[in-house]
Amino acid sequence: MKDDSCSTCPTKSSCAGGCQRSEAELAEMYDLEADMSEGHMIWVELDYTEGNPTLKDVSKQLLGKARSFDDQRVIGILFGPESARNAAREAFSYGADTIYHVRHNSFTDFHLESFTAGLTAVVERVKPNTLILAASDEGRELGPRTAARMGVGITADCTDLEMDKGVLRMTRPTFGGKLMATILSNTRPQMATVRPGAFPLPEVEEGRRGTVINWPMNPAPSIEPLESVAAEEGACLTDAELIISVGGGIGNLRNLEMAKEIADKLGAEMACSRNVVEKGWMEQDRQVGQTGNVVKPKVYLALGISGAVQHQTGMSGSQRIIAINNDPDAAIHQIANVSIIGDVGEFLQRLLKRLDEEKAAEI
Amino acid sequence: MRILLLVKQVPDVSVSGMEDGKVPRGGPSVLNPQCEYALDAAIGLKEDGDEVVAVCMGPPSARESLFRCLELGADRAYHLCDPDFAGSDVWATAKTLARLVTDKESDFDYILCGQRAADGETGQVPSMVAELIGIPQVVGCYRFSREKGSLHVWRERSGWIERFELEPKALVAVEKGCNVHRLPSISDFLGARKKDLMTISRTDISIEREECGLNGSHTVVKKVHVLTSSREGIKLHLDDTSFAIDTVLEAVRRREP
Repeated sequence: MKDDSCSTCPTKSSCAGGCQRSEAELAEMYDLEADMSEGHMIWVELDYTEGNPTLKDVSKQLLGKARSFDDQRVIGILFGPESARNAAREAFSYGADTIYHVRHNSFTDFHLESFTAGLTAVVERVKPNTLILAASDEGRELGPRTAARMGVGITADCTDLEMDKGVLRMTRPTFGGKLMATILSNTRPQMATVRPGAFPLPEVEEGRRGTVINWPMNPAPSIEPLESVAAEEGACLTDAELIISVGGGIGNLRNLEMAKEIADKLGAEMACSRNVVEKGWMEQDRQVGQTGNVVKPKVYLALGISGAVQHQTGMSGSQRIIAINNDPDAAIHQIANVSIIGDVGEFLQRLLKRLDEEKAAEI
Repeated sequence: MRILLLVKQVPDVSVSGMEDGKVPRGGPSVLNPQCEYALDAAIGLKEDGDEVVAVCMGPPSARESLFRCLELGADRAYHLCDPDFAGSDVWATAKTLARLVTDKESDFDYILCGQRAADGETGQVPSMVAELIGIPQVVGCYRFSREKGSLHVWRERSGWIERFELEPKALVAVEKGCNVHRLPSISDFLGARKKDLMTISRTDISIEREECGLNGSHTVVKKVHVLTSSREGIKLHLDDTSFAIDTVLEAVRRREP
C-alpha cells in the first residue's frame, strides 16, 4: 500500500516510480508560490449537508486557537472538490492565512488513504511547527495514520493547548477523566487531535483575506463500504445535548416513567447506569459508562446515580452535571455542578408538576 | 485463516478506584474491555484449521491477560516483555507491535484489536499499527462474519451502518461487543497452561533500544494532575425549597456552562 518512491509529489500513490519531476516543476504544477516558512497547520473539516460546503464548528475553533498562539502563520488544509474553495474564504475569516486546497471531485467524502497521502505530502512541503486535527471519528483515524507515516508523535483527544516559545503543551484527560496529563512532543510537527467544543468559536473577521494554494491529487486506492444503510432511529446518546440518566436509586418503575415523561417534555435523551440495564428496565444501548456509551452533553441530569468510576468514565466530559441523590456521600456529588440531596421520586414529582403548571400558564 | 489479536492489560478501575488520585500500579489488572470484545470476535470467527494468535505488550503480570485469551480459545500467544519496552507512548507501542508482526507473524490474514484502552484512552495504536504494517483498517466495528474466505465487518458512523468486505491483510478495531464476561471451564483453564506462550524480549525482534520504550517515544508526559473538581459545585437540599427545581430548569434550558 505504501509507496516510498517519491517524497514530494502529492499524487505519489498514483504515479509509483514514474515521477521524475524536480521541485521547481512541482512548484509550478501545484501553484506553490506562497512562502513555505513554518506555521501552524489545521486540518479544516467541511460540512456538505446544506449543499454548499461550510466549515465545521470544530474547525473554526481550531483556527481561532491557532491564531491565538503566536505570530506564526495559520495554515489550513482542506480536502474537497472545486466548490470547497468557498469554504477556504470562510476559513480566512476565522483566522487562516493560507489554505492548501487538496482537490478532487470525490473528496466530499472522507478517504482515509487519500487524505493521509495528501496531508503527509503537504506537511512535508510546508514543514509546519504544529499539526492539529479535530478528534472527530475521521480525525481519530487520519491523525494517527499520518503521524505513523511521518514517524512523529501524536497526542489524542486534547482538551487544552498552550503554546510556549514554539513548544506546544497538550493537555488531555486520562483514566476516565480523573487525571489531566500535559504532554510535549519531541518531533515536528507537534501533532494533536482536539475534542470538539474544547475551545470557543472565534470572532468572525469579515473581509480578512488569504492565499489559496491548489493541490490537485488523484485518490489513493481505498476500501469502500460494501453497503451503507441508515442506522435505525435509536438511541443517539453521543450527540445528545441534554441527557437524563437514571441509576439504581431511581427506585421503581413509576419513577422511571416520570423521568421518561420529563425527558419527553424537555427534549432530552434517556440514559442509564449499568445497574438499570441489569434490572432489565432499559436497553443496553442507553447505558453510559466504561462498557457503554461515552457521552458529552451540555447538561447531564443524573437521577439516583451513585457515580462509580466506571460510570464517570462515560460522562465526566459533560459540560454541566446535575445530580439528585439522597446519599450526601455519593461520588456523583463530588463531580456535580449542582448537587441536590433528596429523594429522586419527590424531585421528579415536583419537576413534573412545575412543567405542567408552565404548560397550563402558556395556554 | 490466521487472526492476530492485539490486546492490552489495564488496571481494574472497578477495584482500585484511584481515590487518592494516584494511578494504580501493581494493583489488580484485567484484560482491557474492548480487547475482551476483540477476543470474543476472533473466537467467534474461528473455524477448524484456523489459528488465533494473541499478542500483548506489558509487564510480567500481563501474562494473565494472555492466559485469559488462551483459556477462551486463542491458540498461541506472544508476550512482549522487556524493561526496554517500558514507558512507550503510542508511537513506540505501535512500532514494537508492528515489528513483532512483520518479524514473526507476517503471514497473518487479519489483525483484530480493541479500539481503545480503558486507561490511556487514546485509540491511536490500531491506526498506527495498520499504517506501519501498510494495511488498510476499519475502526469502530461491532459485528463480524465470514463470507467465502473474506471477512465482513460492520460499524456505525454518523448515523449510517457501514458494512465492509475485507480481503486478507487488514486491521479491524473493535469498539463494541456483547456485554458478557465469559468464564473459562476448568479444562480450558488447565489447557491454556499447556499452550504456547512465548516471551519476546527486545533482542528477539528487530528493534533497537532507542526505537522503543521511553527512548523511542516521541511524546513525553510533562505533568499529571488530579481533577479534584473543576466544577463550582452548588449543593442544595430538596426538602428546603423549590429553588432546587428552578436551578435545574434554568441549567437545563440554558444548556451553556
